[in-house]
Amino acid sequence: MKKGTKIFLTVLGFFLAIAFLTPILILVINSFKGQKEIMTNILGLPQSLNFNNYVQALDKLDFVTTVVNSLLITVISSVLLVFLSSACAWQLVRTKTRLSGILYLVFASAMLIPFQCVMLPLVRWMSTLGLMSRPGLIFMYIGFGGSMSMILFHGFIKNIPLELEEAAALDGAGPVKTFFLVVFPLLKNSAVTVSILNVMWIWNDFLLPSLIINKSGSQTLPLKTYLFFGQYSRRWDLATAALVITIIPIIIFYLACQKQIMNGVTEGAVK
Amino acid sequence: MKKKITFWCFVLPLLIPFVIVVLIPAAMGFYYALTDWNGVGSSARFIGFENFAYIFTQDKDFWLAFGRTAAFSAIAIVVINILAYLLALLVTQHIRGVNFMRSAFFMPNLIGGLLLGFIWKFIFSQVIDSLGKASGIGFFRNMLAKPGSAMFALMVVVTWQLAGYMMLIYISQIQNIPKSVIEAAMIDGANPFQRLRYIITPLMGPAFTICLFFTISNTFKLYDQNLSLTNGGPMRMTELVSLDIYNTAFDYGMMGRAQAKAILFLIAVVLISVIQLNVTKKREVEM
Amino acid sequence: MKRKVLALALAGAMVCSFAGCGSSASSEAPAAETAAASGEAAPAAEEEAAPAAADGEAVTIKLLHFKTEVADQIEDAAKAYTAEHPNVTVAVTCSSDYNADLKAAMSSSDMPTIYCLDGPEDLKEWDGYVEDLSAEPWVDSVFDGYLDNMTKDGKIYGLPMTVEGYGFIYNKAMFEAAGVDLTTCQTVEDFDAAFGTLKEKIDAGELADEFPALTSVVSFPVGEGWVPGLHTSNIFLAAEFDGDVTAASAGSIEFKYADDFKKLVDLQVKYTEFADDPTALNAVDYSAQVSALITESCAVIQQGNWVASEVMNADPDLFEKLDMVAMPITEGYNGKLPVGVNTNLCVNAKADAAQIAAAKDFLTWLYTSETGKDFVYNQFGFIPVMSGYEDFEITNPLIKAIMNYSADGNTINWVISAYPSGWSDGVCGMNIQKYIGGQESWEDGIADDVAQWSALAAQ
Repeated sequence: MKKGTKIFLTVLGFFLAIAFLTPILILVINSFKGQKEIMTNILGLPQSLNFNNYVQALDKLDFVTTVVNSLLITVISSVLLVFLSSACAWQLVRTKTRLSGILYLVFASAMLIPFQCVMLPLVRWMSTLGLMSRPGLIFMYIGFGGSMSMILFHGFIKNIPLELEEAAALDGAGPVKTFFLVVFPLLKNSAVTVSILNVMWIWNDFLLPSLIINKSGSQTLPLKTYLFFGQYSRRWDLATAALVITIIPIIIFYLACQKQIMNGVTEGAVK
Repeated sequence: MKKKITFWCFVLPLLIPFVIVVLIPAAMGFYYALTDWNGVGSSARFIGFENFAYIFTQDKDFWLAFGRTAAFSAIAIVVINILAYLLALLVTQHIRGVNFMRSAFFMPNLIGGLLLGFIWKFIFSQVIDSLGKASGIGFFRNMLAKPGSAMFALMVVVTWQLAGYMMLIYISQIQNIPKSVIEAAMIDGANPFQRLRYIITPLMGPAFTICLFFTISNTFKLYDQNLSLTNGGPMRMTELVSLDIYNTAFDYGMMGRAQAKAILFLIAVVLISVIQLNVTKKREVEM
Repeated sequence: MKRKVLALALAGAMVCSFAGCGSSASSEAPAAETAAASGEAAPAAEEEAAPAAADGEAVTIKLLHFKTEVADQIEDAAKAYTAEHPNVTVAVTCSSDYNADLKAAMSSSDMPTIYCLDGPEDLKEWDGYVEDLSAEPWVDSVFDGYLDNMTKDGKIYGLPMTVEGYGFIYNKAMFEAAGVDLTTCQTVEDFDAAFGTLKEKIDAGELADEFPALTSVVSFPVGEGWVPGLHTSNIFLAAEFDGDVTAASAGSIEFKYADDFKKLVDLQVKYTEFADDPTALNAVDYSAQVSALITESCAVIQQGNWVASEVMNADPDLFEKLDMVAMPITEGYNGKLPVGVNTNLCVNAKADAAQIAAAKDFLTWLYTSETGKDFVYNQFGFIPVMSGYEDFEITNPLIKAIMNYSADGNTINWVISAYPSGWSDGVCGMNIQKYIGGQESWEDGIADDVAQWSALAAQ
């Protein structure tokens, strides 16, 4: 690449990056302001670096319990989703029958169902099954997240050369062994991507947990945060701080994954 | 036979929760579409296709929302995917700060939908409005008060949120392209533009399939941003289908009719997606 | 063979899906819940005072409400109740999307025991889910008229949570500085003159030193459908039915005072910062309106005493400067403040007998015991709906205003609870948006309001 192009792209990239970050910067800046200051001067820097909002928000969020709930639900659901959906996708790609084509389409079209339309029957049916609990919620995330994760893996697996699996089969490896020792390692990058997408969604999800586990003791971070936002009272000061608190764990997670992806890139380059 | 056992062993662990959580409630929803259910208890009375008849003959607002959603999605799908692909190409170049850029582009997804809508609302009503005042460009004044510019604002927010997400999928695909293929092209003397046009883009097939599908599903089902940014206003001129369905169900308390709308909507979106999947899949280049 | 494999795989899948969850589930199940479940088998508890306490059976009741501004305080009250009645646990859930959450919760096996309903329309919808509360001890002390929303066939189904009132909330200091007295204003013309004087002084820059941010007299959130569509419309419909909810529920309206309604809307529009380009008002929402009051960029907003918690939190000094005055309605109703019950606490008739008994006792305790009254009045900041609160001192200026209007008999009852579902925001609010946006005449809007009211009420 020419040097000029390189500089141009770098400048363009940074400019775009900052444009993308602006709304989030506004959020972070305002989390240090009092309610009135937010209203009078939303764009300016805070008058003082005041952690009052954070102290109050941590207390009102019942932070330790809430974050443990969020973590447990998010981590267990996403780990299970990665394994179950990659396994399913692998078979659907490799088995070229009419049935697997139909199953793929069923999974895909389920992504198009607006959640609002299944929610009431869902709640009624889940409570019949006794699943109105945190484990039940995890089970539901596997059901709802299954489509998207499976479709993603389906796309990625298509790019994996079949020869490796055939070689493994010739060596006498069964399907389970082939999947875990040959296929899954090749999907590492994709698994990270799928995990990121699932974690984002589950961590921030509001509607489903609000229907299933909205009682004190089992609430997740978004459930608690939304209580700062009622019809008649909007506690911007606490809500902004709570949002920042909610994003921090996920940024750490994302950056860790990012490193994984980058490692993957260099590995590929060496090959 | 053995192959079949293997198949089910790998497929069922995902299929079972999926059937229980998604398909069965959806089937129950189909039944409720034929009733006058108001969402309370088991008071549903079977009324046949009355809900559908009402929607087809009298519910103008639903069809307006439907058309609006289709138009909105069509534009959003193109804009989001072009932007996402360009961003993915940008951050896979050997330039400084790609890690930072990549994180920045993805950052909007780290925050849940509703509250961010409120922040954007502020940006449009205060920041961009004052820019409009200063520059004298009428379009930027009170954007959320006019149906046209309010739709545009919604487009900006949705693009901002989804572009980074789709970018991530494009990046995964770009990284899956074997370096040898690109090196071979370089040896053959292909310039960067030619490599992009003839080597990389054709190999992006699966990613295009997935991203197009995801953007269709996400924009058609758009709800959070619609609710928090405009709440369908002004004059319900920015109300998209999901919001209309939700309001029918919970503001007007007509659960049965809402389910019927959902089914019509679902049929339309499934048709569109099946066509899309078939078209794009045919164009995928097998490696 | 095939079937067996399928069954095996199915079992495997279930184990796999639940792995890691099963163990935590059993240990997490609160003891109270298990006990409550076993309580079902016990003979139905008597409905006498504190029946649950008598046999010491542990009961969990669930309270679902949407008063987010007092969510913590209600939870504290629940804890205080448990401290006095150790066998009863009150699990409080606050919802920010109440209609949907209530329906979802009621479809589940985990139904709320106490929940909120607004009026006759809701009672009709939730028929069979509401317990008859006519025999409760508080019934006789509730002030006249406040039980009307929850009365059906002579039976009472709900405890009015609080009453609320709305009107023009204004910044006294600003009007004093302009030498205008709003308390004597009665008609639209009076208000027009008063607002006009303030506007002249703002435009002339006379108030700029004291109130640098002040730019317009009024902030009017037309973009928030319920402000004009629910609250503004209500006073004219309340006048039409003379505050009689039952008459208003009969299924049709005439909109007799539509012209006065137009005058009030026009008055507010005229004094906003967007008087020249009213379309912009279609993007002003509740948040923006209350912000304008708090940042002192406007002097008057049409709102009710519910703004108290937000204003107090942002600027306690400003809060002291606020007052409320009745909006002009029409000849014969001017100077009357709309005061009404927003929502009621109902008991779920489908809950267990023990839960119902505990729920009734909790409500009685909350509204009549000394500890409970302290919560209701001082912590929730609710305006009392029944006698027995005379000893409490009023500090909140908005509540003081409402109480003064009540004491003078200058109130008019809300008929909001008679509105057909979806009418206020979706029909009336929207027609006002179209009118403001110049897309529809006022008369056409009113004609549509009247037609849609009948259509929606018939469903």
